[in-house]
Amino acid sequence: MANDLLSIFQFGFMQRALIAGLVIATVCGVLGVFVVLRRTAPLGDALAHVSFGGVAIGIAAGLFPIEMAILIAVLGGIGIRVLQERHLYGELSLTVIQAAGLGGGVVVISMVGGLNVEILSFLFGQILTVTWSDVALIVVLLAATILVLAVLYKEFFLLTFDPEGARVSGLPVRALDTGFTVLTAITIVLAMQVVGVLLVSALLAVPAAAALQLRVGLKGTLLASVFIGMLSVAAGLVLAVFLNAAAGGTIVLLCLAALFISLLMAGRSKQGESGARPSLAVDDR
Amino acid sequence: MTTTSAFPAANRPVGQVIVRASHVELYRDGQEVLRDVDLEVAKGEILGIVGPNGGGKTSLLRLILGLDRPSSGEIELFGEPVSRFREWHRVGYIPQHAVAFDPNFPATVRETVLLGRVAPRGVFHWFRPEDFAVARSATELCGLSGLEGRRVGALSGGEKQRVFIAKAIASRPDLLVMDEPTAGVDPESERRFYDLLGRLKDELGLTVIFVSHDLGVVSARVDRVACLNRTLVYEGPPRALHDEALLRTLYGGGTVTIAHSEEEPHTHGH
Ligand SMILES: Nc1ncnc2c1ncn2[C@@H]1O[C@H](COP(=O)(O)OP(=O)(O)O)[C@@H](O)[C@H]1O
Ligand SMILES: [Mg+2]
Repeated sequence: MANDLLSIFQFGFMQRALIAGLVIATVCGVLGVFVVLRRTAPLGDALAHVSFGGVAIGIAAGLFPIEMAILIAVLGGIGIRVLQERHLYGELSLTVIQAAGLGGGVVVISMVGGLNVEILSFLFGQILTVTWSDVALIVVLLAATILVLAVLYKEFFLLTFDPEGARVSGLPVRALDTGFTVLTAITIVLAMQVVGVLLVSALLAVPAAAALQLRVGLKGTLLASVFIGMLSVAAGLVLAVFLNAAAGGTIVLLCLAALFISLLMAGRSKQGESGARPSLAVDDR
Repeated sequence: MTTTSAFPAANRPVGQVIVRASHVELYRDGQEVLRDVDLEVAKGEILGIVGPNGGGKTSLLRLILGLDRPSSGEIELFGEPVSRFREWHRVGYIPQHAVAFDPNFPATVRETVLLGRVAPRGVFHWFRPEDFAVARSATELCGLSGLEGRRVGALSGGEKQRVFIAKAIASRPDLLVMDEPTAGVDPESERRFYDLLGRLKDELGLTVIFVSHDLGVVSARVDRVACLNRTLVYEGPPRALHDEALLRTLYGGGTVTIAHSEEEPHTHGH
């Protein structure tokens, strides 16, 4: 039975999907923890919708839709930062930029003849049809993202934990914030190919949210988040093929299942120690 | 200013001036928040800032830390105007409500204290063994040995407070600024906090500025107090906090004048 399941990875399309999916799960897992802790989970959604505008322009102009989407998403991310610094409320900046991208995308699409298969595949994900050159782009860009995250890990950690303290300590907070948004934009566009525009912010936030329930320190949480994402991608691909279901939706549902289980586990560990000192309750390691 | 005249030379800061505010004014949305604040803090001093809610204590700290700009007046850190000051690793800051941060934050005590080494190590540099060593000794100094693997969010208020102090001193600052560090911690933790403060001063030669509500404790534990209610109502030795006229002026509302400070503070009870 297990052999049966795994034998589908003989197929080239499954290999490509698995490689792309695992790489994306890794980056989403790490970025997601910071995004969730900084309470900026809606940023992923906003950037996805903005990049949809880029995809539309790319398809309409017969250019590279992914590259165009990355460009537009990065610009959108910088736009969000600029608006936030002008003291437009955080969420409002997201709404404004998201509307600009989505509105532009819809207008462009309607002008070139409405929704076609290519556009639909961006909305709902297309992991099973990625080509080797898609995979190459994903691996190269996300390897670069991982490298930046590794180098700036301690800065992003401080910025997340204590933004004001980070400013006082003389860190280039604005540059770091913008850099973080750009990394998120790139990741979102690439992850969009797995689960689609509509679900991509879930792939970013849900494995991280599940890992945060485990209460295993920051490093442990990052590892757990990556692991949960990878597991959901691999299992989701297999399940989708066997059920003949959409891979993106299946992967996201598995992420949600992981969140559900971790919430149950967290609830149980709290209950079990209700008699103990509250400060000891959740973290006996 | 007139306040110091009642306590000549002996109580004036001696030695290197770490913080100097002169004629500082701050307006927010057209409202006066701070008026004509003059303040000096000398090396190795512990200065307590007290005053009513909304008196401008947090605002003054933020000006000193360069987080906000004064509407007029000058602030110098280590002899340099704040706007040109670059050696921010010499300054540690614990914001108001620090202990009330996200209780679900995953970081452990060890990971959190190490954050104090981020700025001194610098962007694009990995931590080195000495960073871990310094963080470890800060953890020990703050009495957190044995808690290193625990999640900060799961600690008691007093323990959290000491984690934040350990993180702050792990960057080896010369000046430590704390906004209401004793708010929301139990009396025993508060006592430990003041003991720790004394050790930081004696062992590390740290200069400390902190805001507190508890006048009684402050008067026993600091070198100098500054009473702030829009303007500096009093600045000098803490025994003046036993002066009822001063307290009325500080907390009683009404117009604040500095006239009272020319009378000798009562020293009964000490
Ligand atoms: N971000 C802000 N915008 C506008 N007014 C503020 C802001 N923060 C504080 N204030 C006002 O400044 C005054 C001083 O506040 P604050 O410095 O926080 O006092 P304290 O710390 O002594 O309680 C108050 O009147 C407060 O309403
Ligand atoms: Mg305050």
